[in-house]
Amino acid sequence: MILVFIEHSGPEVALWSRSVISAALEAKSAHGYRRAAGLLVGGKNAVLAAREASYYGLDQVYYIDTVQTASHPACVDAAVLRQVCLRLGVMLLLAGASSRAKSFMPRTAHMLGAGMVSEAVAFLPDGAFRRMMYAGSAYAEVEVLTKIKAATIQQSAFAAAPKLDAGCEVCCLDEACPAPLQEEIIACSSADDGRPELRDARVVVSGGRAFSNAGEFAAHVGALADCLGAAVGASRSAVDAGCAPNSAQVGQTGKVVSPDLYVALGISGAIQHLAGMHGAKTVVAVNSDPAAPVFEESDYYLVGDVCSVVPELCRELKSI
Amino acid sequence: MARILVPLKRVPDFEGRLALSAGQRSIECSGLRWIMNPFDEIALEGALRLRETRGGVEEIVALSAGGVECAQQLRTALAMGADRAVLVRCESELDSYLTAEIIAAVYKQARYDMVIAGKQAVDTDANQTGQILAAILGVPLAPFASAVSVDERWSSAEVTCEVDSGWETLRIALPAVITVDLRLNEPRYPSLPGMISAKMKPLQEVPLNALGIEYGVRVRTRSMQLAGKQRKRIKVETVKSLAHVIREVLARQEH
Repeated sequence: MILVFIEHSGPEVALWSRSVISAALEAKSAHGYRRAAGLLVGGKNAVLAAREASYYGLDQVYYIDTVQTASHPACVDAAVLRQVCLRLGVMLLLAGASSRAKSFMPRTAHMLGAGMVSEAVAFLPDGAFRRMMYAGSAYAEVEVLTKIKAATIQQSAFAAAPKLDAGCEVCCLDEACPAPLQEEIIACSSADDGRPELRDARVVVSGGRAFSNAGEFAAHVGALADCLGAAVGASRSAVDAGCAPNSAQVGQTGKVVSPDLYVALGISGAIQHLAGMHGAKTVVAVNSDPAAPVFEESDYYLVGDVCSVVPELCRELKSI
Repeated sequence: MARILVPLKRVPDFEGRLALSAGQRSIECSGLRWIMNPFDEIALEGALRLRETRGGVEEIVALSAGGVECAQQLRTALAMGADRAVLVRCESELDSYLTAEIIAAVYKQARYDMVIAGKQAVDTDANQTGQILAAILGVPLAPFASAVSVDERWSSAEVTCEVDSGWETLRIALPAVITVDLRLNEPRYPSLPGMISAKMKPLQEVPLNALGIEYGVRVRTRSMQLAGKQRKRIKVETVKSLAHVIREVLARQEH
């Protein structure tokens, strides 16, 4: 059977986990598995989120509600998931490409003797997987040679599973939280800016090095984002320059987004940034350099200084 | 006194010029410039700074696996300040799992207090090796580090890790595996005296079959294909028309 690790925030299933459910349903038919189940790990919200998760087309949803905090370290997920996989006889383990899953999935896979594919974008009919390499410049077909297999899923390649009228069975597992903990979270921060989550957003406005400081970045990228109800993204160089938090980074080493509309402001178009925006349906770019590589990767582009274009664009958008 | 192991990968600097080899199984390597994986360079810089600021470091060892050409990147590591280097010689393709097994075998040859490596290699983009290594060794993991501090006795570390929503700080006992993200530091350039002394520092070659690793790869790349999406590339002349384009795109998506 296939097991999907479903992430949740409070009682809500994360949107990217619904893409992983879609991927699991595709793997079920393409790779010939009999069942696809989900697993949620957490405290009292796990049962609420599990009930919601049961409506997306899985055959069964399991939850563990004895892990007290939502912010438990990833080593807990790694160990719990191993126990559950052995108990249920899981042959394909799937999770999203969140920072948390990137931390625990390779560990769990190793503990199960499983080979793992990172950020799969397709399941091929002969049992192989497709994934991107070289900052999204190349697709690779990869074979997993182990009996048990594991993969994280590139969210942008699978639409979120739609909600059905009827749910599947929801079942509590009593796996114990393993002690001792190898890692302890002693502090955390959230860069929540009240805007849509970058990976899930329908519209993303991203800024690059054309902005000289964080204030200028916020005044332009933030303003256009708010005008369009968009999430804010940034190029690696804008993050390096301190213009935007790392959690906003779009690209090979940041987040991969798949919005309907991606607006690139003052972004030159380095290959490592393009890797994060390949999945956008439509790309609009503004840059003062007429030879900016980003224009090659755009559907519509305007040559101009972002600091003068953006305020005018916001006014125009409001007047339409 | 602490020992730090820094595994590093030789990767192509392929910005914009990727081509596939005749068999479509890998990229065409001729004509490419080869560099140390940028994240591994940051990891090495992190190790060097721990020695300079925390102290108590006996040895920083750079490790790579592959053909004889990997010695070039190990020499760069020695020039930056690593004390000695180990090159595990193998010609076959490695996956994240086998790479982690190689690092684990070298780790077990000496008493190391920390393995610090890049979070991913910029060619294969797997982001798995450090995590698998922690699982093989049964030691704590702090992935995607943007700050690392170690106590005086090198018994524990506090590591700030980049996570989707911002950051979280992990406290871990040492020995441990740390993988590093972009913002940990800006790596130094090798100095001229560094480059000269690098030639005198030991670079030990070890054949893969001397490490006693029983298994092979778990994941194999069977073919590759160049990706590319043809965009429309329509030039818009005025901000007003750009605003209309954006409104039309959004209206179309709603239907």
